[in-house]
Amino acid sequence: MKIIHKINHYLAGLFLLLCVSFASTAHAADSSPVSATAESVHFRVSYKSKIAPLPQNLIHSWVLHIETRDGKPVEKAEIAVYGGMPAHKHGLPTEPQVSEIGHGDYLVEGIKFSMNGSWQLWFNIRVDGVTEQVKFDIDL
Amino acid sequence: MPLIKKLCSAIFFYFLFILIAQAAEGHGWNESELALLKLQWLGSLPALPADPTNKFADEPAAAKLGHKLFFDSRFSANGKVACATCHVPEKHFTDGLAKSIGVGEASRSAPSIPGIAYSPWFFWDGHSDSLWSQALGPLESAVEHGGDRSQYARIIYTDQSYKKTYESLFGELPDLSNVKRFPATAGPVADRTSNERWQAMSETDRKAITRVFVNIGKAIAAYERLLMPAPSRFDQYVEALLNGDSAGDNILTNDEVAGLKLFVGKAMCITCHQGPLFTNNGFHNVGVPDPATIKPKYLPPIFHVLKDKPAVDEGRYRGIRQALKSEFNCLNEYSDAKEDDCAELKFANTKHTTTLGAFKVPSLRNVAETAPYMHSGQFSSLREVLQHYNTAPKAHIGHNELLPLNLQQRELEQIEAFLHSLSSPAGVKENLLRQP
Repeated sequence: MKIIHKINHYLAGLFLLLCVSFASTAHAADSSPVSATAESVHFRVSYKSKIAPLPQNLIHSWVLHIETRDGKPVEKAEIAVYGGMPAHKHGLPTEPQVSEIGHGDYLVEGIKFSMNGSWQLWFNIRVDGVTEQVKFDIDL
Repeated sequence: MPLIKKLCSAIFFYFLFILIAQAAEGHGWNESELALLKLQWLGSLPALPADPTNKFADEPAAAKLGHKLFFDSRFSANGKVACATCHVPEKHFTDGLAKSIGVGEASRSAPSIPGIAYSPWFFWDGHSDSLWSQALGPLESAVEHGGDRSQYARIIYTDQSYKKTYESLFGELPDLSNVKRFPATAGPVADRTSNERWQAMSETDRKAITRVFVNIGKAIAAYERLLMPAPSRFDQYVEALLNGDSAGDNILTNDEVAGLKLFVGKAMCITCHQGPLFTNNGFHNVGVPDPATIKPKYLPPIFHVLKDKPAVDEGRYRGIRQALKSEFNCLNEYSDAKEDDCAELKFANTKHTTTLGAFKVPSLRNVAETAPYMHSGQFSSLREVLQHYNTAPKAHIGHNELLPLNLQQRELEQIEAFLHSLSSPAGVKENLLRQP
């Protein structure tokens, strides 16, 4: 009985280890979201990459959608993009450019993530003299 | 059984399990590590992308011409310097010098060429955005080939073999028989006489010469696109791992495997040296010491006596500015690309915070065979390079992006051992490595 009890303990340990390794693999697989949403005081901002999954080392575009917190598209916003890898204290390898598509959609061209790791992308959104900022965390 | 015995036995079986699991996976690679190894494996290298800036890039006849041009030392001021003088095939297309020697001494080290065609940027500071425009830089550099475009166009014009091949590829050469219109030497170069002659030429004639010069570059680029690295012991090891072939276990030594583990793990080398060519083709400031650490213009007048010292190499900060105004960039008239093909140039980051003191991440394939290291050969051995990365000293210009690794000496030796497993012969036919 004692032996069976002991084996049960080890099997439980093994099961736990397998769970841990499975969980870390699953995390790695969905660490690069193709779209995400962030909010500032007045705006709800979401992006969608034109290339999925989020590519590494390839210049690509995002469509940024900006709406008010109650769901109205925000037009004629002046948008500045900056970002980088805080851990390495360096910025983006590119200077993305933003142009308005309409109905709250903006095309962000020239995004590139040149290496794996944690990136941050900030959007400064200026509407009617008020500037707000949203941040997206990208893990590649 | 007392509790302590139970605990000991549990720990023993836990480690036994780990050991068995590691043995089962071959040298103890877990799934995510294996994915990283596959990423670095030469077998993962995609087909060489087209070069929209050069419509002759994949033309075999252009490569054949480029092969001849690459080895032809007539394309220099003194008739002694060819591309192959500094990019020596037997030395993996490097010259083993800290600063290359052409007709004078260059300020930087000659990088290896195999696989370079995958990069969107060329030169250590990325001041060219195409392989063909890169090839033109040294040809008109006062310290490398030392000549000028009129001289080179005339070689093509007078050598009947070159003329025939050139015209069958690129169309009729301009008639250069009138030496008053087309001086023997003339170009936008440092040499005053040559430069004055160039300025005196009509714009049409300058363009006609420049077009020949550009086509020389495009032919050389077509040849260089054929130069690829061959699989190394590292690649054989990964291939065996991916195939579950246990015979692969003996391909790398234990130290090399330990070094590889550090490379993709704790030492974070893979962050920048990523992909089958071991480079992300990015530009980073890694705080490499500069031979000229004093910048006279920032010093008070009392130190102006030092003003003849060379300025600190600003790297990518200067390189991207040069690329943006280059007559040979992707957006200019000599490029065959459409505007949409020029995203790298159009969106390149020019900010000093990102570019100052940053240099291109070199491929690490054959790194053990291509000392000295860094853009001006600042380090003579891999050991020195690894020591630098381990301590991450303050940058002399801009800021060092590295974080100190604080690895043990033994671990640095293991990484160095691993880097030796990236050596391989050139992955091309022998005849491409010789003068045709």
